[in-house]
Amino acid sequence: MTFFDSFHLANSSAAILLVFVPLLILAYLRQKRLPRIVVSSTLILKELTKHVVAKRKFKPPLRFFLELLAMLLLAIAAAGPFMSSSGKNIAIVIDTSMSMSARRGASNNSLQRIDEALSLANNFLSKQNNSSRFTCYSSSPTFTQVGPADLTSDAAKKEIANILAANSPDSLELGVAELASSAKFDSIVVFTDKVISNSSSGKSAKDRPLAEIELFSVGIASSNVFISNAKLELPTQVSNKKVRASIGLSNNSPLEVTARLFAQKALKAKDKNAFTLITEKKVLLNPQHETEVQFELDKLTSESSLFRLDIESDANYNSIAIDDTAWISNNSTLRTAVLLVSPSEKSGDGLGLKKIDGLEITSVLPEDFAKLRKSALSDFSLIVFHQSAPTKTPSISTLLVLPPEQNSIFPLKAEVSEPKITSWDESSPLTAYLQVPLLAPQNAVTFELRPWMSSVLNVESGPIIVSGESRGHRFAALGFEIFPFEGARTLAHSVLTLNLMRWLTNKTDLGIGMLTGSSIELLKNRSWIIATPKEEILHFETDADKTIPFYFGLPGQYKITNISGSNVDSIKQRTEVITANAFHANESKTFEIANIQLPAQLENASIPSELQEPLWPYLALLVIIVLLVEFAIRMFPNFVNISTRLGTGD
Amino acid sequence: MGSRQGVHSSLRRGHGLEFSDYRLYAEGDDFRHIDWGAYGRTDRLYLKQFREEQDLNVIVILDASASMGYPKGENKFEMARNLSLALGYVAMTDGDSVTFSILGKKNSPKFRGRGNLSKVLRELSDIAPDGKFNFVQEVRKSIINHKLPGKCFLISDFLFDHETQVSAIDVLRYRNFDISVIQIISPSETVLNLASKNVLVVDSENGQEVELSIGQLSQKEYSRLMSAHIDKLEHYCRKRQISYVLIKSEESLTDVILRRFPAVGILK
Repeated sequence: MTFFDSFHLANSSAAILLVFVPLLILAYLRQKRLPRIVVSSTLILKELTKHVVAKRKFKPPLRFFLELLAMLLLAIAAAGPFMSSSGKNIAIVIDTSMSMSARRGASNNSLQRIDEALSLANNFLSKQNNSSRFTCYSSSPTFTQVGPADLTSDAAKKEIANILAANSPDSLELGVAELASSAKFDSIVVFTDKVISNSSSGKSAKDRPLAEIELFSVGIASSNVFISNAKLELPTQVSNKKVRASIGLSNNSPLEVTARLFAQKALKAKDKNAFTLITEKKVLLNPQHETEVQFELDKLTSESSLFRLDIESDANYNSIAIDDTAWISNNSTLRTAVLLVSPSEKSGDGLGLKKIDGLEITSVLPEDFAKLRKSALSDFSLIVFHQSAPTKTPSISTLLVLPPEQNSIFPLKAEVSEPKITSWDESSPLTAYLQVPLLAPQNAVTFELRPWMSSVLNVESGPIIVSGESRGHRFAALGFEIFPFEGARTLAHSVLTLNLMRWLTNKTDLGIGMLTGSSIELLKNRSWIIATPKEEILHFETDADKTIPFYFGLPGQYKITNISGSNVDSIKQRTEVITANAFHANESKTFEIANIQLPAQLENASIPSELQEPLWPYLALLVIIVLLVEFAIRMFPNFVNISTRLGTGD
Repeated sequence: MGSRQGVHSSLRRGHGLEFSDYRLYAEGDDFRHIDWGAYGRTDRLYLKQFREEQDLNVIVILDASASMGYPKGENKFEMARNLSLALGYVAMTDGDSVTFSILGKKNSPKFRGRGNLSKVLRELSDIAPDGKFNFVQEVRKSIINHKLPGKCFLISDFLFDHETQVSAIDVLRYRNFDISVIQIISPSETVLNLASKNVLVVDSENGQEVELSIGQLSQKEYSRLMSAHIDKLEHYCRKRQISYVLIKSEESLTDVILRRFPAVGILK
């Protein structure tokens, strides 16, 4: 496509401005008055003008040409010139989930899946039309745009060059679906180690393009050993504290590995980060299921604040290294502040909720709650109203257990005696791991469903567990009693309670720590100091308007300190130690190729849009430059010594 | 030649004192002029003829068109007027009658004798060169009252086309005038030396404008064209035995009268 093929004028009628060009010429002709000399006779002079040398030529000064150029540029700019092309707007999506860090071979120098993806992406970009524009995205830990939008292919290559695999799962499907529905792109190209699951055409799912969505699969099935879970179990009557872990094998045959447990021991001040091997054991892993290992700790060892579990295996069978280590913190979970409002909380144990690791329970009576300032509530992640209810919807996640009839959030429908559970939502996180029939409440109340609610557990006359999200906060209500929390003694109630705590506080697992890729909200009006596993010290300041999310990108121990208070007397400091682990079994199972579902086609997909690059700004800039030069010549004619003798013929 | 007897030989043959020629006697001739000596030698009757000596009818035709006043300050018309006066003075001193014809303006009465010089001065003093006219017609008008031929001094810059030059001179030739053409040019008219290299020149008489860009080549060409124009007139005059002289306005009047004019036979 030549320049002239791509060059267009949006408003060619503006060329009428070129009529001023002859006017400019006339102005210069008239402007330049020649000296008039009266002679006796022009007889001989007329004869002379028949010769070229005597004929006066139109010799305009340089300024004339500059003004002419400015006029031409203005006329063209007014005509709305633009360069058009048949390029496309393309979204480049790179899967950066943890599985993309899987290596092909045993060596640390062997290619990761992410390297293959980036190589394919570079190759793809190199083959694209020069006029196409690209916007790059990475999928993990959140689906995020990488660099500016509408890049050339070379710029896009530079943007994706530094992309690394994250230590977390991704939201690739959701992200691509959003891009597809945004109608911003002519096509979406995805580079991933997953394959499309909806192969309804019967063709192979791998690399099959879906309308304007193209997928490039990378990676091969590779063996991997991984820790899917590790926690510190509290001592019981028959055992000391234990470290219990689940180890998985993604392979097609068993594999023996070595599990080593280390404890952090502060022998001397300078050795405070030193880890000492406590014990190790050989473990035979089975690809069919995860293998549990446990390490019982002696009294001394159990006082350590931090443990590290390493799995050592043959490198040929372990494509991802980061999931081979687990960090287990002793009393080092970030405590979730929960406000318990209950008229019957007299024992001081927070209706048993204080037994749950990671919860910090503050109890108040309902009448005292009414007196609390709104600002005091901002310290809490969850308010539990037991046999009570607020007068208006709080701006914090809220659980109501047996709310009174007159409550504004979950209006009651009816009381039911010996309700029979008819159905429940199996997909709800509140029913996860729950043997629902074991709940069997003696008495319950049913709720009126509001548009933003959904029923979780139903009896004949209506839902007795409802949940919903409103204005960014989660709400749940139980129409029957589940407190006090008694752990294993009332297992169903305890599981339900833990599910509620987990879902309402948005914590992945209480008492275990964080997963890489998850985040916490750094609360408002505080100074935050966070020490990362890489021993970086990060500072954050949150203001009164908003919180800041902090992502746990690396596995390891984080020390989080927040300082609040506006004056010396009110300063409070609180430090939490959190461990983050790459417990993402789905990402670690690199022997299996995961499936994803992508939209069948882009919404509002249209013919490839014609990219247009307007040229008038460049022309306007040129006009300014030309006029500045002309002004300089006019103002400093001696400095700019330009001859006006043009083609004299002499 | 005049109608009176003057000091100039008239071409008209008459009974003046100077023997001129013989002719055969024809019936009716005055027998007193028969040359008996010639009869004795030839047996034929011849009459003596004598040149009649009469005064000369002198016309000084002075071009007073606008072109004679340009270039300003180079005194072209002043030289022309002075030459007219000088020539008139000589003629009047010789006893000839002189008429001054100011082309485009007036014809003076005849003046004779030295004593009328002051009248002549007054006649010519208040004339300024201006205006435009048909040169040939004006020349014709200037001699309309002159029945007899005589001496004619035609003084102009002759900066008009050759056909007009020829036509004007022919008017005088056909009336048998003894013509002297005096062309007066200013020095700056012989070379192209204008104030600016790019100029708009305007004809003093017809107002025609010409744009010029002047360089070395154009200067050379101008000089060549001007020389050719002058040479053409001179060649025409010489071929017809008309006295011609080119006078530069810067020349000394005395030098012109005493040396230049006699050199070309305009004055003896």
